[in-house]
Amino acid sequence: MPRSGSKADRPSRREWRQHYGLIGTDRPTRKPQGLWDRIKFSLLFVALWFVVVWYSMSSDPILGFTEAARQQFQVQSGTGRWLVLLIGLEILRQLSYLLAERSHRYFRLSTGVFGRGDEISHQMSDYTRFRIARAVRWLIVIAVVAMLLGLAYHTSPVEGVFKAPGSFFSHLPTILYFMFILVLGIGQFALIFWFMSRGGVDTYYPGDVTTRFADVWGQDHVLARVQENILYLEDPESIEEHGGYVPGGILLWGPPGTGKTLMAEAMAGETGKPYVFVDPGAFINMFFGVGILKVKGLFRKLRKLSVRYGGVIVFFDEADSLGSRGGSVGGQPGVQGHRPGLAHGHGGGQGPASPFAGCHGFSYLSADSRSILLESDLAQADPGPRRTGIFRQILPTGGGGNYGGMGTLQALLTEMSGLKKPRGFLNRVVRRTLGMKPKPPPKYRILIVMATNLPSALDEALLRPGRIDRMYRVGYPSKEGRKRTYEGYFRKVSHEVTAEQIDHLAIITPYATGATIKDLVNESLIVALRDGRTTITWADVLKAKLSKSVGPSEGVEYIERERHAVALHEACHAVVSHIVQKRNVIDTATIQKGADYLGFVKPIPIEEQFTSWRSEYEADIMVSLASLVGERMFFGGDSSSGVSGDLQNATTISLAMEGLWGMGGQLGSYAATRAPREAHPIVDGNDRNVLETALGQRAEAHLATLAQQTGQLLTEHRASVLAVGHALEMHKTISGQDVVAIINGEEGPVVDGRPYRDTDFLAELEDYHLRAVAAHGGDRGVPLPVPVPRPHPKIPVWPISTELHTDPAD
Amino acid sequence: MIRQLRRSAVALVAAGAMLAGLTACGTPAYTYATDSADQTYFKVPSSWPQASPLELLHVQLVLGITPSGTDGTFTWVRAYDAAIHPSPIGLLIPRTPVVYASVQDMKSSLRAALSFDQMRNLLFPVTPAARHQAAAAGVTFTGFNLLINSTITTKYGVRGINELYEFSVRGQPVYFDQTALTNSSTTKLYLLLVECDQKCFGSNLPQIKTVVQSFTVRGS
Repeated sequence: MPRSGSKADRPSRREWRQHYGLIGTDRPTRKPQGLWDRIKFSLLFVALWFVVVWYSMSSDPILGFTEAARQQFQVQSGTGRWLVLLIGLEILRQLSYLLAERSHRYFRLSTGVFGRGDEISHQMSDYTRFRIARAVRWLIVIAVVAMLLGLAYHTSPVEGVFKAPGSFFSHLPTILYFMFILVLGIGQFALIFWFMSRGGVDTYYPGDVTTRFADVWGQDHVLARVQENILYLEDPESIEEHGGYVPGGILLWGPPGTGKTLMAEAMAGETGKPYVFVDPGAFINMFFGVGILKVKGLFRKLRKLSVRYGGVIVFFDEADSLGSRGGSVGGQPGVQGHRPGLAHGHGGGQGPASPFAGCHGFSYLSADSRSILLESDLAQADPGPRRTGIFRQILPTGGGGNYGGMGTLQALLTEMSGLKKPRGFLNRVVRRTLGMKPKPPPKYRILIVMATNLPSALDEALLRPGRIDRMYRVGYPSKEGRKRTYEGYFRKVSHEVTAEQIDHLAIITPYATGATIKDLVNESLIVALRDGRTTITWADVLKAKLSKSVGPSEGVEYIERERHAVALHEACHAVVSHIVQKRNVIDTATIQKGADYLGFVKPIPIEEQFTSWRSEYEADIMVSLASLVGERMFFGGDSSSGVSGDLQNATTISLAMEGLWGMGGQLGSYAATRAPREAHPIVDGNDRNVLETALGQRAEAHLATLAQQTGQLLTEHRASVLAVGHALEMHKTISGQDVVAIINGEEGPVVDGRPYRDTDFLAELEDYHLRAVAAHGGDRGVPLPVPVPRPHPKIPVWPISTELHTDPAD
Repeated sequence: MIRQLRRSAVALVAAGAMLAGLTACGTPAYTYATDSADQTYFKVPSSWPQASPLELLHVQLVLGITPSGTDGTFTWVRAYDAAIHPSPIGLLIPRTPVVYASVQDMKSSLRAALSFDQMRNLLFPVTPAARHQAAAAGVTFTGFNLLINSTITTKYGVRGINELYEFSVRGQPVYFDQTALTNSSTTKLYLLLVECDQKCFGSNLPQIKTVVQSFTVRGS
């Protein structure tokens, strides 16, 4: 029977009678009650009666149960008489109900007589009936308590109620004593938890932080957005009077060291609001509930600061430590190392680590090629569903951890959403009890800033608008930003590095962050100091950069013929890369063995570009194939297994060119013919038959053509390959500028390329190579001393191909 | 339908009758006298009503007890009389049992000297020495006969005596069952006396026994 509070909605008498079966229904008798409904009050009264009996027995040791029961059955005297009367009344009531259930006539009679009360009660609103019922319940409870007090004081229930306070005060010392023991027992735990819930949160007041937006270089686009948020926080009316609201949350995500924390500090320095820094480890807690207490304590503080200062900024550094309710998926370190490649379309990063190749990975490829290769590899490694949005851009794994688990994250989510709820015991409970509405809370203007390099580890609920309204990617600084940063750090040391060299340094360190730049300058100073100088030179910078790029050597020495083979392998890559990859400069070439490579050549794009062209992909393939073609050329058709990664790279790109990008003999894209999961023929690592198809055959033909061109190129530049290979054997690691200097026969920053124009020396190199080939063929008696270049170069003996070679500096 | 109705009605009537019967048959057989403060308890048959304050004074008068207490202040006094005795004369030779109980604070000066014999001689000279002393003083009790004399100790540290004696009052033997106890610190003196003439004592012996045996002191 639908009811509501308004009078108009209340049922009429007729409706009520219909509803309860008095008219217009077929039910002739009362609806039978369940057993529990029949006996519940009787049971209650009987239980109370037993309590009374028990109490009388306990207060008189000579009183037996029978006598006590008899005493309490006395209707004329005894405390239990009221209960006996109630039991009697309840039995009569149940008797009446039972009769009404059995007899139609009695049912009509009883509803006519007793039903009037029910009828009146059902004319009331639900809430009125609820309040009356609540009052009745309280009266019953008070009556029971009064009865028990009457028993305890051997007096009437009414007197018992009035005696109770006096008794309470007389026993107050005992009560306080026990309360003290109780508080001491519980208090020590509360104190432990209180202590553990401290810490991890630092508050800075306006003026404490001196970092300014001007100190953040190379992130101008993000900085502009962040400044916008600060403006709204400081002048909320500017948006609120137009019906909007101040964005409450910002997520700064991006690679480590890109200035997220610096940006947050700059926010604290620029704004006139307090700044609360939350330590990443603040929510790693040993005991259940400590994290929740911390979150609640933090937001209590934030609300206080917000009301006092008109706003507050809270910064959660390494927000991934908050974890995700999805549980710990675990990271994929190998994959994470390549996230910049996915995120930017650039690859490699500073480190040379690569799981894709036996010798040098794919660092010499163009950015897009690397992206494709990486995606292909990931598809094989991770068969799970793809993510979309920023998550796909970053990392197709759950990642993260569950550090802030045990309810901490949920508490944070609740607090972030609960800023508009009425708060306070007095406000909510007392006012509500007095029938007053709780006062709405003030506008807490809390700007939550989170920084992470693992956004995929964050819970999605945390990132929804209303909690985190804006997400900004803080990527690697732009070239100008890097240049400014280099200038800033070089300004602090004594150096002879020119503006042009700093500009070049900014070019060859495309993924440098503030942290790595600072580190590189410091490393350069260390190199200079090692030489007994206090002024940094360009050579020091390059040496420092090389040591940072390649990392510490494994200390493994190649046997001579293998060293020569690896050096020629890398030299082929380097020479072909220098000639055909016109938009790149070589950063580093090395044969220093690392954890998962024998050596590598690492070119870097001169400028950021967002499209890739057929010519670039073909150049990439040629650089990949250079190792195989070169080994065959220099070792009489023999080749090593070290080219496997190169071939995989070349094949993958070739397949994509043929099947996806219309860069081959077919226009149709394989992307249109498959389900999204398998849209990419390259990505679908399970399709091993792809090489058997027409697509595979076209790719093979394409590879063969490019291999032929590569062979021709290497034949023309055989001397350059031998020269670069020799330099690699001599120095293990050389910079890109040195590679160019060797090829051009010029003086480089570290390696002098002029001796490589000396005909005699070149003949020595050829002779050395022939002896190495002989050793390779099994002749163990061949001595293999590396020729030492003469100090004074002579005239050049081989022409530099002006047609194919263009120096990037030109 | 009719059968169900009848069965239900019978069940309800039976329940009601049981309640009524229990209530009617549930009249307590004893009245329980309780002094919670001093933790002193005993019971008397419910047919022996509690004496009115005037009657209580009469009992004390007959027993030679000063209402204000000679050895200490009474904290609790209770008397039950199976018959109504409008004057103290009737109480001299009671034909129905008279029960008197009291709890009194002992004067500190008397605590050290309280002995079992003193308890025995609390109301009347019972021990030979006391009787000799009384005789020397010119007070004689004819027909004295000490029927039971025992000592009582309880786990609560309560100790004392129980004695049953008789002597003639106006030529008729009257029986006294006297129980006197004190607590462990001798600060309280608990007394229960049941008095009756010979005929009454014989006919009410079981009830008197029950009253005496129910006398319980937990001490304080």
